[in-house]
Amino acid sequence: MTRSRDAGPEPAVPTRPRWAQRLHVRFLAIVTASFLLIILPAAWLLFGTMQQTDNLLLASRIGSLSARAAGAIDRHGAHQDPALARDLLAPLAADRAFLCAELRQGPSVVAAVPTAQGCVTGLPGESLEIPVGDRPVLTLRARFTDAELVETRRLELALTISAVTLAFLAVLAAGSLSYRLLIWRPLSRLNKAIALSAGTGPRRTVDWNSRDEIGLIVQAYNRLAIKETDRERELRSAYDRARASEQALGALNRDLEERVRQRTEQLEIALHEADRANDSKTQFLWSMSHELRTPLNAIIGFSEVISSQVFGPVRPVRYRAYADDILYSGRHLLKVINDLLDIARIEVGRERLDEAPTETGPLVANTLRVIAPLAEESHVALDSAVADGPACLMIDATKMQQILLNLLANAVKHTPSGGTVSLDVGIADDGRPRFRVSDTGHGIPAEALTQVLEPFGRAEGGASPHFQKGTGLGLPLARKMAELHGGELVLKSTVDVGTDVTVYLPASRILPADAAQQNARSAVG
Amino acid sequence: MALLVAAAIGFHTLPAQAETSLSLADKAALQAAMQRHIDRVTVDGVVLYLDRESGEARRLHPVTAHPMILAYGEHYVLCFDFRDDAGDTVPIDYYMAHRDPGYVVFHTAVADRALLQDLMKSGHVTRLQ
Repeated sequence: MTRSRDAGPEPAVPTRPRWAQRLHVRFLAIVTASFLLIILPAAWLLFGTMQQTDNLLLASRIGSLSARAAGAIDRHGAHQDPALARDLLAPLAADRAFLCAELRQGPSVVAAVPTAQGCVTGLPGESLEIPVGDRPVLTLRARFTDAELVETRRLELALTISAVTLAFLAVLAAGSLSYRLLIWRPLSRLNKAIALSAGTGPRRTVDWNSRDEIGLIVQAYNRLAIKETDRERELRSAYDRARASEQALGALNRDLEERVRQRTEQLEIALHEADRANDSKTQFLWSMSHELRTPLNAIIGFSEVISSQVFGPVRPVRYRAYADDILYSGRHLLKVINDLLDIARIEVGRERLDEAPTETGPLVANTLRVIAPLAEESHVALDSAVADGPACLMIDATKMQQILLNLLANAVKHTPSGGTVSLDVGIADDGRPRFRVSDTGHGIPAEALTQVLEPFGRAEGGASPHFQKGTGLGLPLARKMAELHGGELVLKSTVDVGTDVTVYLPASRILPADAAQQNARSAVG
Repeated sequence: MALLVAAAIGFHTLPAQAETSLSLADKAALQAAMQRHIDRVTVDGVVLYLDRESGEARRLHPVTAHPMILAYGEHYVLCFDFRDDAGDTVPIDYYMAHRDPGYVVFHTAVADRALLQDLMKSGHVTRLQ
């Protein structure tokens, strides 16, 4: 019986092989062929030997009886006494093989058995003629038949066939039984166990403890099944552990996702609030700047009147110096307010570009002319290169000049006396027009590069006065104006080496060299 | 299977050939001729045999004729068992030739199976089928 280590549903056993391919049939075919190959010749040999022996025995008996009868007739001179001769021939008739016997003297019959009939013409069988004594004319003729022998042979043949058939059937039955007991049963169990184990179900072992070859195969299979079961158990355990870890990981992941979601919501809220605060701040700055400019214009205007002594000399003279200070401070404050207003306008989206074809050369020249006094005052050399740059650009010339002025002013401010500030106009490798302002100033620490691009974000230079110059609006305003043109501002700096500020504009803003002149002519026309 | 059929045919044909070569009547005639020869040479029912070793005439009583017939070329060999006065079996082989209308003994080998065995080993004497 097949024993299962674990109970479970039994899958279907595989289909049996075709009839001719079954091991049982092939086994019986071999047994049958072997049996017939051995038994049939043996039976035929045995039968032939028996037949031959019977034949010889019959011949010996007939010959002996006939010779003895002939001898008796000769000894008793029975040829002269037909009655005696018949008596001596009578024992021959007792033998079933004899058909008749005649004692002949020449052509005449002296005595015959059966009496008065003898060996009539046409009688079947074989004839035997023996001389009686030394008389050549006296012979004993006998006819005999092997009919009984033939009949016996027929019976023996039938018995032989029956015996062979029975033996054949017995061999078949024994072979079939042996096959079923020794081969089919363990193989069937093994096959069933393999079929059951082949599915996803538990491994099965086979209960078969013979010590023959089949038993060895079954034992090997059982060892394999047990090993497989152990391995499956280990795998299942590992799978359970992995599944538990996966579930824990999933829970952790869901927790993290929830945290991220909450954090994102918080950040979105904070960002929204920051944007709103920034908008409010911008709106506030714009409003305040606008409100501040009105009285500031009055302050600047009247201080300028006083400083220029339009209505006569100012007494005492110290008041005029005060008026100059008020005028200088007012103008500085106005510039700060104007910058704030520009930034605010850009941030709230109210700033628009007044684009027109602009020749690069004159733009740069005008800008350098404006900044030249500041550079001269600071003893900073001013250098420029525009030859490799685009001749004409579609830009807002005022804002572009403001960008360059801011960058150049910053560079001059942060470059010590004897340094150099240069403006290089060219075309970048990617085809975009660029304006690069570089100086040999103190440079900006790497950690402050982002900060200085924000409004009022001057670099934290500690006690160094180099980082305290200006309002902190020049770079942010230049950046926003560059972005307003669809470009970008890139800041690179090395402390104690210098700073490079490059403004890139889109390549689409490059125009043919005479575009500005044509535009001017069309405007006049 | 072919071997089986061939063997069957062979076994079937061998006895048939023997019967055609020497019929049952001929075998019976051989046995009768041997019997007649023994009857003729017996003295008071016994066959006298001069034993070279003992120098005596041994009395051999006929007991049984062997049904076996051996072929010796165109001749035949038949056997008959005798018993001496001591009760020991003494075989006599009769070498027989055909002479119309029957057969005659042309040589008698008393208790000399070595001769017959030598002739069988040399292939001169074979078993008649």
